[in-house]
Amino acid sequence: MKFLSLCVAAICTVTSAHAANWQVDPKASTLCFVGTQSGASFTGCFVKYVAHISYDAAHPDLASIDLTIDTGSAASGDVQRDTALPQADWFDILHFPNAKFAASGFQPKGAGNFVTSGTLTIRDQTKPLTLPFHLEIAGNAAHATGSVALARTDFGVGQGEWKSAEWVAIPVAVNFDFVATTAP
Amino acid sequence: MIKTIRYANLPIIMHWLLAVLVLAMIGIGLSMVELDLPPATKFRLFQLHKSIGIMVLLLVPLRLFARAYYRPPALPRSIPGPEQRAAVATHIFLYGAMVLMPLGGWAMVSLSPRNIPTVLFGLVVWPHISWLADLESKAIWFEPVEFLHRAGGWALAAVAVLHVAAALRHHFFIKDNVLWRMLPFWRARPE
Repeated sequence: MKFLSLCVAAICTVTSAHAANWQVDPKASTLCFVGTQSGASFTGCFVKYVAHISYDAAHPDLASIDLTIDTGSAASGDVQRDTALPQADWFDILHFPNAKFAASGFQPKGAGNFVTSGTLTIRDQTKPLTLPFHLEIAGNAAHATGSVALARTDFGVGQGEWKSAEWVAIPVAVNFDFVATTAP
Repeated sequence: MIKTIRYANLPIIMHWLLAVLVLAMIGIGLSMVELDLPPATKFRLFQLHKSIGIMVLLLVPLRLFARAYYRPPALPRSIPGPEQRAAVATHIFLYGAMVLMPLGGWAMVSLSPRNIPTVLFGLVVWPHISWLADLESKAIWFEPVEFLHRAGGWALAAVAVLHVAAALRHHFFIKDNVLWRMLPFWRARPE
């Protein structure tokens, strides 16, 4: 009986993990960007986003990420900057309320490192994006961290005179630290 | 009798308050556009210039009220006619600049293609003049308004120097009561 119940538990784990949908805990997770304004670096974070993540350790090639970011939820701790960010020259949240990242297939690179390929859409500009990240899974809890460098001008973030790097640098780093759980 | 030959308290307070603010505006304004400063410093100076400018705009009605309500003491009769008229012209220019420079600056910020929000002293968002900010042709208007604001800044600096030089001349060379009437603390009337 003991053997059987263990066996059932094992099968259950495998089957549940096979279709594993991971729920990102927004309170424990961060999705931030680091830019440079007038030579000084600043960090802004998106407070609202919805992530649909599917991953099964046995089938990393079937994994997928579908992340929708509320562009109006960016906050960088500076009234001046945070007033400008939602406006037409930057995220233009009136016309582009969401940014999206969609990727499928995790390529394991060993030691918990992965790479996934997908597309990033900001201001309706879609570009291919390869995202390296580190993933640790303990039971039904996952911790994923990663960073990717973007050129804000690829997505039209900074219109008109802001297209130049005179005041705001072109490169922007996006860092995420996601804590997620899956149903046992 | 002293009351009739000195300015009243409110005009004196408003004069020196605006004097400090306007001098700061001239200093910050000319430095931020004419000097080769690091971009971060420049950006902070622009925000400070806008913050003090809005402060001036909000204080100017009180200044105008003080000017209208308290009749200024007449200039000494010893001052020749052309100098009296020059003094009046200088004062009209200074009052005009106090009203038009902040309004022009606000218009300029509203028309700016950079569309940079004004945040008063890093705390409170001050809106653009919306009908200017929404103007289709705002790019055409920005440059002339910027030119006028900049030229106005230089003209104001020149007239302020003239105003101060005249006051000092009256005090130290002619030794009449022209500057004394406006001094806030030193109440002994010069002989």
